[in-house]
Amino acid sequence: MNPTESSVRELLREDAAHAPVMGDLGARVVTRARRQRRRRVGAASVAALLAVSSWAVSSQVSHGTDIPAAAAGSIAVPTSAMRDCQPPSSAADIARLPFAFDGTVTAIGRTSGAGTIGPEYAPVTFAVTEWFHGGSDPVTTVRMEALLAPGEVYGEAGPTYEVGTRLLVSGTPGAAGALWAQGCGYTRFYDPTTATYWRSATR
Amino acid sequence: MGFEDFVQQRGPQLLRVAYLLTRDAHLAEDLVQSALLEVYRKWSRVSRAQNIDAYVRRVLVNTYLDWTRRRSWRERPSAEATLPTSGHVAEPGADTTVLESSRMRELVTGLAPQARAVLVLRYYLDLDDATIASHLGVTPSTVRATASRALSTLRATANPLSLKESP
Repeated sequence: MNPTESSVRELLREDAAHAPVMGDLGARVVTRARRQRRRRVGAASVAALLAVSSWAVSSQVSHGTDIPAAAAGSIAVPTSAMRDCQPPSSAADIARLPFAFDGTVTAIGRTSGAGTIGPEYAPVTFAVTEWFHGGSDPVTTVRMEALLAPGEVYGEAGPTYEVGTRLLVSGTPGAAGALWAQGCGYTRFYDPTTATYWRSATR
Repeated sequence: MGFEDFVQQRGPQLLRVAYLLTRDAHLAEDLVQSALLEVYRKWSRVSRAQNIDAYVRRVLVNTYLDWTRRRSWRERPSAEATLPTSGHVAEPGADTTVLESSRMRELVTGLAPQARAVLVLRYYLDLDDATIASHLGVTPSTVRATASRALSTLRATANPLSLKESP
């Protein structure tokens, strides 16, 4: 080990000694998670009502630019955004993200190592039906949260994607130009109505 | 093992890693809390995994990198004030050591988030490059290149004279 490596090692050891103490962080996490779960159950009930209501309304009036209730068609693509989830309130929120497209999953990459479970994120390849903005390639790959095991779905977060699933995806580029899908209503199961909203807002 | 037992046992080390990544006590707590929330939601499956630590570390590091990618992320300059200037006691030549240590800390703080994560995982947790690569979702060669560039930057900036003196 060279002197620079030794210095870094020593420095990190010194600084780590000044980290805050754990306290009751574990208990706080459990409390917060339970609160969020209750909130999600409540929101799902409201969303179901909204979905029925908006269907009834949309059959009678023309569409504005507000998007349908986020949770109604929202997919479980829980990227980091889900941790402090603020669903888009209008299609303009989608337009503010650097890219948005309509595509079908053709491959889900995995990089799990021996003795570990799947990675936090996986590269998901799409055959793009339509770019709303931010791209033009017929095939693109986006980093999305990986499943814990092939075919497994999130119990709490609802159904998730698999090869063949058609999605409306929006998000931001990350390091080295990789695209990262944003969850929390910004990446959703495809439906023609939402696609129309996204198209009108992004062009 | 239950979730709270896991947090009790591994939490302190997660917090130390988070602190080394964020350089801020409050951000470190937020980071650990966010990562553990994510883990808690999947605990019934995560707890059956062969290597829970690896999974949780991966969530922690990726949460940190996600934060740094967001526009709202800002380093807190005040965080530096909470860090020690040096762990060394006064000895002959100690002033030089304090300066070098302080300068090195400043340089490590200024590294790109991914480079800082690589150094923390490599030199604090002693993880091998393949494991670091799986945590970051990159290849081992990318980890080696990132570490090499970071160390070169630290070496060149911390001690430009010695570089000039080398053949």
